[in-house]
Amino acid sequence: MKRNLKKGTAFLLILAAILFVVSEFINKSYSCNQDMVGDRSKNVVALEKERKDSIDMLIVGDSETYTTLSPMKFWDQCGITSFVGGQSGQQLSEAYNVFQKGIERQSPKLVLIETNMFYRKTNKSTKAMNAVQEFGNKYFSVFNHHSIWKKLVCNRGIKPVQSYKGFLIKTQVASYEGNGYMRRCHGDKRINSNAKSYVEKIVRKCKSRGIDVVFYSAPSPKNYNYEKHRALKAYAKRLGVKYVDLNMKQKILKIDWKRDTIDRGDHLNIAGAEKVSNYMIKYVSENYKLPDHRNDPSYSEWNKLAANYNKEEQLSISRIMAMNTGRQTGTKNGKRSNN
Amino acid sequence: MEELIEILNDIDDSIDYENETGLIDNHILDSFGIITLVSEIEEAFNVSIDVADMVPENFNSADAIYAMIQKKAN
Amino acid sequence: MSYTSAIYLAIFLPVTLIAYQLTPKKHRGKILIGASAVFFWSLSKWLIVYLAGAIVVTHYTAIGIERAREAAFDATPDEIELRQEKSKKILRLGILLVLGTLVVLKYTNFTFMNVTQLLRSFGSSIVYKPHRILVPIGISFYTLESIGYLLDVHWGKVKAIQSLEKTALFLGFFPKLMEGPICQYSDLEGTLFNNEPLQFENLKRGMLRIFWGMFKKIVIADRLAIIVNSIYSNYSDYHGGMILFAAVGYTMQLYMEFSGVMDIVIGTAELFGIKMPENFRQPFFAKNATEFWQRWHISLGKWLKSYVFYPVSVSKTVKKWNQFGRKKIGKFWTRVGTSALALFPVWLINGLWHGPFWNYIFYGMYYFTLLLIEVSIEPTWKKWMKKIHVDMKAGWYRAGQTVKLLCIVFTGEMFFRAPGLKAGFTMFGNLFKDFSLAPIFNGALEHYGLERMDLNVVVWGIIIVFVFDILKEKNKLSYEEFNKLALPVRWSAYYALILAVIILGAYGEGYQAIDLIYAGF
Repeated sequence: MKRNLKKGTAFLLILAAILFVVSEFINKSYSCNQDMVGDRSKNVVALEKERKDSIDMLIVGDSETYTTLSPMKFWDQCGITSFVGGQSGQQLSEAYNVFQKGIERQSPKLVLIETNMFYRKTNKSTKAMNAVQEFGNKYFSVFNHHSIWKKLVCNRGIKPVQSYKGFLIKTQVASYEGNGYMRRCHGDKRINSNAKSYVEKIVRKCKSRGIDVVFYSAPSPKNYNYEKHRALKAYAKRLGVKYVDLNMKQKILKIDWKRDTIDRGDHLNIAGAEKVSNYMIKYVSENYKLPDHRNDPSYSEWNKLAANYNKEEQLSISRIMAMNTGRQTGTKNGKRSNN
Repeated sequence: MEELIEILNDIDDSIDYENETGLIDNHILDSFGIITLVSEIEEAFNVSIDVADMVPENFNSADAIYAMIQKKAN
Repeated sequence: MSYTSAIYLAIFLPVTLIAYQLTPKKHRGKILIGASAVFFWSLSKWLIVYLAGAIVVTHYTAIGIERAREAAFDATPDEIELRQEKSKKILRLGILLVLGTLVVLKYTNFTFMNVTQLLRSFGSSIVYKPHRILVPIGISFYTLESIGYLLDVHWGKVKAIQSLEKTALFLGFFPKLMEGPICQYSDLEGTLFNNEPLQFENLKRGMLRIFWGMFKKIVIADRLAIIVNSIYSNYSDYHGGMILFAAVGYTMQLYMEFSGVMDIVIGTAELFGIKMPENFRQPFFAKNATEFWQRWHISLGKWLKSYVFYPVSVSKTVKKWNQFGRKKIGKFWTRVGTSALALFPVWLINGLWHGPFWNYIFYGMYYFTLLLIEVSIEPTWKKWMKKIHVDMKAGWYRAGQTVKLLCIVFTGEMFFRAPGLKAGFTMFGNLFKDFSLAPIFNGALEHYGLERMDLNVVVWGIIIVFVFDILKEKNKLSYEEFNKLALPVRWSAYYALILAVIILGAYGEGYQAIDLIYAGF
């Protein structure tokens, strides 16, 4: 019995030691190589590295953000500095964290919140569960950042995806064939109550700091319908927040669902994103007074990035335009998608 | 006993019934085999087998089956 | 708190184990009951009264049945008959209560919806608005256990449990609450109430099994869930290869998840020295669908066999049919008829048990038809094969059987998972439209929330599990042999497995916790 007790204790101690070493290793890889950061957290980490107080507009939300709003276009057309703090499948609790980090180092004057995550199902968890998880995450980062193995295994070979202040250029085409997904009807689609509490936290904080908030819904037949539109509109009104539902502006946007979506109406590719960005640039510049930094030498880095961006954007769009639009998925010249 | 072996061979003749003692436990005889067997036994030996007899121990070997029949007949 | 959560593994289990060990032997059962109550409460809160009710009803019904059956030595045949009748009456009341609760909670909405719909088609204007009925976790599992136990007592196969504490533990033991296995009393009576002190050997063995189950569930199944869910939720958008992928993917997800959770369940029981029946036995190595069901969700199959299939097959109706058939229509058709009579209720119940949905009923009828065909043609088929000198044990023949079995299973699971029967047929139709495997291999799969690396993990994970399954099937995998290896080798294996679960697991940032599938039934 005693011998077994000793053995068992030794086993657990060695296990703890192994987890500790692995955690240290992960911490180290993180701090010395940015590319190690998981795709999902990339935007968040990059946001933290932006020069202090250089971002005037912050965008949060799920993958619908970095496939619809391009900060480089905002810069190019009216010198607004913006950043997409979007993450694929972002939960509102995560959006709140991104927002927190955003206002810590930056002083944005406008926050855009994409509304798709208002409907995301959240994990049910209790206080006890959270406490256990937090304990694990705190002392052993292997629990928190275990997905880093993907980067460690296959970092070579795959070119890191170029992110333009959080925006990703997507070039795949897979047509959406339906129509009339925003057909008028009665009834509201109830917003997730857990999500609501975080939205309201963000809105309250913004109001107290004099930051404007806008809700926007990216055009996406897969994610939106009229019932959601009604519910979101009413909700925004109740909070006193402006709401732009781009699904309702299809006539102005002229989204071509045959060409402009990468996955049959879930996300937009760069051709679709260009249209949405142009519309939102107009909307923002008409409604809010954000400073134009284009002639400010301390922002010269933005000009350089914009030059690169423009080249890549034009090339990508011309490729998409040249493509036959049938029901097809993934083109060879496309980049890896990671939504 | 011979009659029983004959019935068993009729169901599946690739099994060595004289020596096999795990007809059920080793998944040799499946449930369809058993219900066929039961109806044949009832016919041939003029006994009535009921649910309470349907336990693996009664069907694991030819001897066990035979013992059950004997018990039922009395 | 589910079996794969951090709180279960890191807090609940260790605390229960320590409390169990520190308690005097006599009272250890109470610790297990207390732990089970906490576990149940964490999932279903006040609905625990249903479980408590089922325990009390089962306990006293069983005792009542046994009292009624106990005849004096000199009882006349008439008296025995009378007592049998009385026992039957008590049995019926008990079953009515436990089964009635399940039926009311689970099937009320379904029944009323379909009845009103039927009436509407005759011109009635009644509209039934479904009510939200809260169903306690695991009710489908413990109800079957209770019914099986009562029948066993009635048939005299087991003795009634005399202490309420033991009945409570039999029906409510926490490891099997959510997903079974559905235990017969005889499965558990040998070890469940022994209250032996913890043993190092059991702990080692149990933990190994638990982590193996975790590997299957959170490394493989939870990854597959992401992609399978995203295809099924937009099923009408897909055709050909993608449908095939969804069907295969779901079958793999279900196998990895259900058998993985069973490993955790059986491993947990093992920690306390309690032996639970296996629920899976390398199902994909079966020769045909009949054998598949003796290897997949074994405990449900065994329950249906013991309490539906055999009772029906020795019932008066079937016996009459046998006599009639033998005289009038010959052996072959008699056999087919008997099989059909006994099989039909089995598969109707199997379908309905999974839930009140038409696609589950279809799933049941699908297997009813297939198994009936198999059992009907098997003898003739064997004779033919013998005549043309085909070796039914040859490699190529077995390969053919496996391909056929896989087609059957994948198709069945496709209907099983489909959101409704109509959706199932739509998917089945789309399977043959523009069939091409290209989308599986050209990288398009990476659009569904899994990166290429994740897909690699899934594929390699499945390969590893199947290698172990092959070894198990060939009886080449034994814990005892493993235990003889040198300590550093064994410990390295433990650490490797634990690290694989922690590092490769699909949990935390970027992943949703995935609910257990069978806990929903």
